Amino acid sequence: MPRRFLSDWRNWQLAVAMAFVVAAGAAGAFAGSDYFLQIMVLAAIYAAVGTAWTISGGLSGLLLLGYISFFGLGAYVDGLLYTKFGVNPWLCMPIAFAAAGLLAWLIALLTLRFGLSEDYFAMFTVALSQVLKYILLNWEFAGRATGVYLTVVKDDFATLSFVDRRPYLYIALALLAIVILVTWAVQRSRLGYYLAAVRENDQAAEALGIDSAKVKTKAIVLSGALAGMIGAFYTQFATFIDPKQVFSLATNFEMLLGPVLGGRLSIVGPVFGASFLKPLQDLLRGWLGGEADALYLVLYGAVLTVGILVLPKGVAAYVEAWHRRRYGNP
Amino acid sequence: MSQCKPDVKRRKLVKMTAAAAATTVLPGALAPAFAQPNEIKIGFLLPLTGSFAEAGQLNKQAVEMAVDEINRAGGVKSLKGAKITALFANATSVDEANTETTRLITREKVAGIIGAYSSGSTISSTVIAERNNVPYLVPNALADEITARGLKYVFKTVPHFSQFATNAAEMVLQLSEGAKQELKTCALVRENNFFGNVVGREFAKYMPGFRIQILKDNIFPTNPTSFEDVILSLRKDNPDVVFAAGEPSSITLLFKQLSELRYWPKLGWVGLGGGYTNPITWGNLGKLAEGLIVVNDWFPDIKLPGAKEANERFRKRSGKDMLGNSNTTYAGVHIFKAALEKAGSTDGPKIREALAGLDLVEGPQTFMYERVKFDQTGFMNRTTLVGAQVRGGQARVIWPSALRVSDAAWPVPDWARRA
Amino acid sequence: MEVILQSLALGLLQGGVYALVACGLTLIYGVMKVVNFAHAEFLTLGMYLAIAAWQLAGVSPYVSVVFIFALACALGAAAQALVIRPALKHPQINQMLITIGVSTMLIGAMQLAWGPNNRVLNLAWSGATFELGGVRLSYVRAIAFLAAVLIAAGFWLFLKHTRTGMAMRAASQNPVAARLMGVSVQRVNLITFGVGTGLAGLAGALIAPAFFVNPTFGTDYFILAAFVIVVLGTMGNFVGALLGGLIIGVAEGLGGLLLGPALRQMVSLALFVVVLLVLPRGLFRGKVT
Repeated sequence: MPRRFLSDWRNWQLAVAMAFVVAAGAAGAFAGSDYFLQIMVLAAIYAAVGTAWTISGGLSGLLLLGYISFFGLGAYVDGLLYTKFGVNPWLCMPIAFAAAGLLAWLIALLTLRFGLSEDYFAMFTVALSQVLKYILLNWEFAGRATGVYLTVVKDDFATLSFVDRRPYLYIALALLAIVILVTWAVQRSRLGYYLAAVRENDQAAEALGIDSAKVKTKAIVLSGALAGMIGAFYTQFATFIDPKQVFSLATNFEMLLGPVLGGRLSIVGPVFGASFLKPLQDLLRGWLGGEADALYLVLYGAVLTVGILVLPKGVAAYVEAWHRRRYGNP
Repeated sequence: MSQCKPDVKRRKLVKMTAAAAATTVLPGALAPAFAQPNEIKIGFLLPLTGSFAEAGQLNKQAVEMAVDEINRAGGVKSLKGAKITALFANATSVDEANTETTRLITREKVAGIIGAYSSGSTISSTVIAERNNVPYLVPNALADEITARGLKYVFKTVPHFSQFATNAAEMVLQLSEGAKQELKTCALVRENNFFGNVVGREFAKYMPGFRIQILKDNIFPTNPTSFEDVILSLRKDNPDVVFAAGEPSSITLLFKQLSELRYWPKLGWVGLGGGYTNPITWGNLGKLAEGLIVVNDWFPDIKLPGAKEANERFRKRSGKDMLGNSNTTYAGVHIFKAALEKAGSTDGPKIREALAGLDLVEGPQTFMYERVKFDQTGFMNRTTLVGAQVRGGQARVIWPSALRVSDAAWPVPDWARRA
Repeated sequence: MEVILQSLALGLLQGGVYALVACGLTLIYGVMKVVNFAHAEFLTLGMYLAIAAWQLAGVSPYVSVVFIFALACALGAAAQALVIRPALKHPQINQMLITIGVSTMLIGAMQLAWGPNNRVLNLAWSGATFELGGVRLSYVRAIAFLAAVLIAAGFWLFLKHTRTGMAMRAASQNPVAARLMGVSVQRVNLITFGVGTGLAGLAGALIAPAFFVNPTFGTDYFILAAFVIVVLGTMGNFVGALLGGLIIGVAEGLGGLLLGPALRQMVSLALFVVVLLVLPRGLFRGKVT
């Protein structure tokens, strides 16, 4: 790999993140245990969601706090289309991408038209996620509180159903790779420059001729669409979804932990952040056992609080500083 | 300098693979040793924390009681007196249930799984057990789907949802006939959760057959801070009887407000399922629960051999009555042990065969089940649910007549006429 | 018609409860512009402490409320000094997530201390009611309602006429200018956060007899409504919080009655969404007094 390529912080991140994805795939291929595969798939899902979030939440500086709306919507799109209409799950993923993208576009339209400021935008997205939850809780067709379930007892590539956990890992990693590529491409593109400008100073960017509303809309739509696609995959993997699970605020904040602690302006941040934090969470739960859940909550909260205070820009800030020293300022 | 980068890249790649491998392989190396030959591990999925923690913790104690009894009586005789080791795993969400089931099966190599309390978690985790040929006994989750998917390794000892509707209707009709009261209308008050939803469906389906008209189906959301709308609605509709389902938290609030607003149905209030038959709920309600009729598989005050004794043993251990699925779970452990005895092996398929062919009329589980036999789908046909009335914090079975220990106060006196 | 009236009356009472819970949140949000996601946990803590005081020392929550207020204040002030103040320099998403971290720690701590099961505070007159104009009202909720009104009135006076109050208003409108005018914004923030969490604890103590408690009670039952009320009533405005609470209480009650109880919570959420879009600065258009 030419040094010139790697000397760009974003390219370097792409290389490292992709190498990690490949390594994870290799580790999965040789891992003996279904348990670890299960943890790895969830980690990959969280990593993908976290990275997708950075397009709007990091790059554009938009306080897209209620991000799980898109994930949950994607999950239900797949769940309902597949179980009620027999739509192929492979097809459901791009459909979920589009559906979540549409929702994102509507949100962007509403909030930008009404000129919602940061705090309110955040609360709006959170409230919306709960509104979606209640709509689905009361929708007979979607199963209300009984949710949607799939029964998988044998391998069937055509319907994205597998007995072994490995294929799920490969697909999850593929999705992660896609998200990484898209994020990298956005960061390097003109859209990325515009988003950074808007993030730094909205009004100055407008003065320079950047259509801040259009640019923000694109970011939100892309971010949301990607989350929807991952949500669709999640349904196939978990085989059971209900509104409280896929629109859970607790899960929402857990998914944002990776990018925030890892570094939301980066690519390696969310990827490594989620890949470290999510398995840690699952393993801790398994080791500490049921009742130590309370202790786990205290530790988790402490890690979150202290972590953010000590690393406000995330770990990636340090890695970037190292990179700059290593490769010199291009 | 061009010499640096392949080294750097390779070093990074190696570091990355090492890191990935470490997180997957190392913990495996630190894994606990395999089960000793005279130890049989059984995995228990329960909600040990979170909103269902109360029930989860009680069920855990029921398991411990059963395992203690089995081990003290000499373990599983056909396996040379091997003792049972209960491994508890927390299952408060579907993901957690799936992850923990996978762990119990692949790392702990359990001989069987018993769980998982919530229907959603059970529906998804049974699939994992099926894939791995590990028998899964369900003594607590009610969804019909659990045994309706053609899974061979899944066995369910709790009733189907429909029985809550049919048995409850039979009960109130018989009680009313006995008291020379007319019962034509009812109202539903149910929580918008899994159990509540299905109960609603079943009632809508079966009530017309019993000639009971459902005046209104009141569905309330989980975590409501006030029930005024439900109660005002009930007062307006004035049903003969109310059929209700919900979680202990909601029931506590609901009854507080029922007494505040002084509403009580003409004939009585019938609570269905777990939340209503939880002694902790009755404790929290105190006097408010007086006269409440509850429907579930079993109550300690029932005309079955060993029922009172089993309950006493449980009370000594936990300080509470054996309710809220602790009874079914306790019985479930004994049933599974019976299957182990019959199979004479910890091999999944063999235990499965044993379970499928069980026909028990004696044993510790007769305090609750006169006969244990699973049908083709893995479902254990019980003849009927039972109804009990809460008096002085105790539930005494009042229906069906074959199992009842006391007469019912029906109609149930309303707030003004209570002591 | 009688049913509607009853529903209205009950809704107003419930609204009082909501307003009481929300007033601490609006203070913190109004002055410091910090979204305190841990607010619900201080409410829960207040309830637990009230139950503990009753069970261990037989002290009625209406007496222990004073101590609980002080304790919650102190705890909040400590949190502010240790955790929130350094976070104020950070971007908002970090601030929000930090309060979420604090919230998680508190839930875990309460679970360690008191276990995950539900606990109740059963006073002899917990369920007692009185009749007013043909409508049955509960004493406990009526007291909470009264407390909400008193606090709203009290703070309105406080913010308008005392020096600390004026300092708070100044800091909320323009911290830099306030600092230039000699206001110690740091001190104001400390007091604000402390009092805000203190109010949450106070609310917990007062409503404990009417509900039950478990570690996630606050988050499960009240936090969403609290946020709706704070925004609807204009952040920082106590009278707004009172009005907002009443509106939400009545809307939920009537909504539940007319649309069906399942949609109860949808009502406040839907209102929230609409308010955010149409009236983001709340009923009082951004004015705090």
